[in-house]
Amino acid sequence: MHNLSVNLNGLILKNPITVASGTYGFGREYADYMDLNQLGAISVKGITLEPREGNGGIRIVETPMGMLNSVGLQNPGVHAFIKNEIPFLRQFDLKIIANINGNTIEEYCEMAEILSGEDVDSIELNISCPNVKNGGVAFGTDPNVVKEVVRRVRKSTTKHLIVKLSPNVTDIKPIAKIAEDEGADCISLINTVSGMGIDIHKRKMILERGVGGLSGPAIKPIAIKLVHDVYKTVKIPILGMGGIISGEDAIEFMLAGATAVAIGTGNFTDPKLPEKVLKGMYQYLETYKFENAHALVGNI
Amino acid sequence: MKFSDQVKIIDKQTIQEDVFTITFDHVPEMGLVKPGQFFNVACDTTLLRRPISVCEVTPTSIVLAIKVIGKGTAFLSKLRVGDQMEIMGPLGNGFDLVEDSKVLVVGGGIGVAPLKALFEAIKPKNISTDVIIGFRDQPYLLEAFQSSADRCTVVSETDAGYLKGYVSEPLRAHLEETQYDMVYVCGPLPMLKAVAHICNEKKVNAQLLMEEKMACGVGACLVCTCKIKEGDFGFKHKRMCVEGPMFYASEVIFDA
Ligand SMILES: Cc1cc2nc3c(=O)[nH]c(=O)nc-3n(C[C@H](O)[C@H](O)[C@H](O)COP(=O)(O)OP(=O)(O)OC[C@H]3O[C@@H](n4cnc5c(N)ncnc54)[C@H](O)[C@@H]3O)c2cc1C
Ligand SMILES: Cc1cc2nc3c(=O)[nH]c(=O)nc-3n(C[C@H](O)[C@H](O)[C@H](O)COP(=O)(O)O)c2cc1C
Ligand code: FES
Repeated sequence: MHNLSVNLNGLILKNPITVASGTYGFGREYADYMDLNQLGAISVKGITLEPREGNGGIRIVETPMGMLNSVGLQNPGVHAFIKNEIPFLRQFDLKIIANINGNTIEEYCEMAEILSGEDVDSIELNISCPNVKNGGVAFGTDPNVVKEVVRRVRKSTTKHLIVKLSPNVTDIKPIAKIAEDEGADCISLINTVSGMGIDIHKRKMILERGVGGLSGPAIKPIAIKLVHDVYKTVKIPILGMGGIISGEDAIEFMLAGATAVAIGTGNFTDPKLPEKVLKGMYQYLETYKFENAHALVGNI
Repeated sequence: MKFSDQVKIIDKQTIQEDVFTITFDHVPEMGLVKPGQFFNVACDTTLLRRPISVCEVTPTSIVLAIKVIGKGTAFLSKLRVGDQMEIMGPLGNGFDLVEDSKVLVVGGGIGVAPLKALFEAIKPKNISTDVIIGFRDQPYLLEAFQSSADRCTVVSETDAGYLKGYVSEPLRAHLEETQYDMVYVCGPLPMLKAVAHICNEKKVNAQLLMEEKMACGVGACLVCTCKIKEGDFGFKHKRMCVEGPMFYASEVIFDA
């Protein structure tokens, strides 16, 4: 048996396969289709201080090998998450990553403080959501704001802290470096790529906000490149994602420098995908005689 | 565990140039399959699955009726008997079935597909079951309704030898004449909207089978939401794939 466990700088996963925030609900939605014990971790749907109803209008546009979404952080709020979702997820052998979102730096800090006293294994600071007016990607693309928000959230919690980066920047390296310098334990990337779709018959934007987030296999090459850029820049481990739909894709991310991977849109194509990706990874290790998954990281 | 696997196509019928049916085994792992529920069907030509309602349910088989709209349904139309099809389901809430009632079924276009499963389930249990069906041109899937509905009215937008027009005209007339306990509706959005409006106005209970683009089909991604009344002024975004696709006409908020 190969050793698949990986260490994300203190957050130890029994295998490198996790599911990406916003694509797996709170786990319970997929529990009837897959044994959640197979997952290394789940990053839950992005949560906010107060419940949110999310964006109106059409929320999805399918694109060649991808999709644009404009969900806009619809979620039951941090307190409902703590009360209803943590106990459910604790029935399974997986790590819980709380994906947090705020309108202001203060809100991010308050969420981090609240969750510090709760049974979550890690906090993922989402400063890269393209589907909200405040916070989100506006924070994650400005190096000064990244510095401020990571520094202050770091002071608000002793939990394992992941900073989730946006691909919508000219150069991701300085931003990753800032996140590392300000105390992030791990970097996750990529969030969705900003995109747009127009209904040519109505001559109108398809999505109410115009812009949405592109995900799925269409963005994989972008994600691989950015993971590699960040791998070359920081010492902290990377949770890589963007378009994974097979074991081979997951291996590619690890070779690019990710220590663990997250499956997002791929879950929609097949509710058993994480299990299949895990199997594919086993096979690869077997074929190429690697003793453990860690040996793959950045191994190019 | 819920069903998510390949099924073998045991029958395939073309019922109109762009409408066809696919039959597969109703295996025990699928459990009870209710009218109004759907399966999410994988297509080689698209990343995301396509939601398709059940059109016929027996203890041993399930039939889907599909209209070719674009890439995904075109792929499904090319499948043949003996081919494997990757599906998950049944998904969604399905219709609330009533008994000992006067029922009206209103359908438009491929919306008649789920109504056929509904009709067969409720027809024997109710006092009367009337049907109004509208098509753009030539109708399909009519036999069951025509042979056993108490009243079956067919309208067509083009001159196809049927009553010309939309379902809303006969609907108003039916509601004037008969006090229905429940109206079941499925069809294109403008039709759902019009029927919901009329039923709400007449204070008749109506169940709408709604449609929205979907991704996960299990409630995880939140791309399929529909605006549902909450309290006197508020609303909630409910998931079409879990809390729906059936919603009561009285609770849906249709945006402009
Ligand atoms: C719960 C549910 C149950 C359904 N049940 C059935 C069923 O029993 N039988 C059946 O044939 N269909 C059913 N549908 C609709 C079916 O899922 C869509 O027609 C299908 O997803 C279209 O995929 P496509 O790849 O063929 O078209 P696409 O390539 O996705 O679309 C082609 C073009 O048509 C437009 N389009 C897409 N879907 C629709 C639509 N529904 N109406 C009008 N225009 C559209 C698109 O915007 C695009 O411009 C159901 C939908 C839902 C949500
Ligand atoms: C429908 C949808 C909702 C998402 N919601 C969130 C979210 O709430 N928080 C977050 O950090 N990322 C969110 N994401 C981004 C994913 O976590 C992931 O970073 C991105 O989709 C790239 O991975 P993929 O191509 O495998 O989907 C969402 C993505 C999708 C498709
Ligand atoms: S399709 Fe994902 S929540 Fe309904």
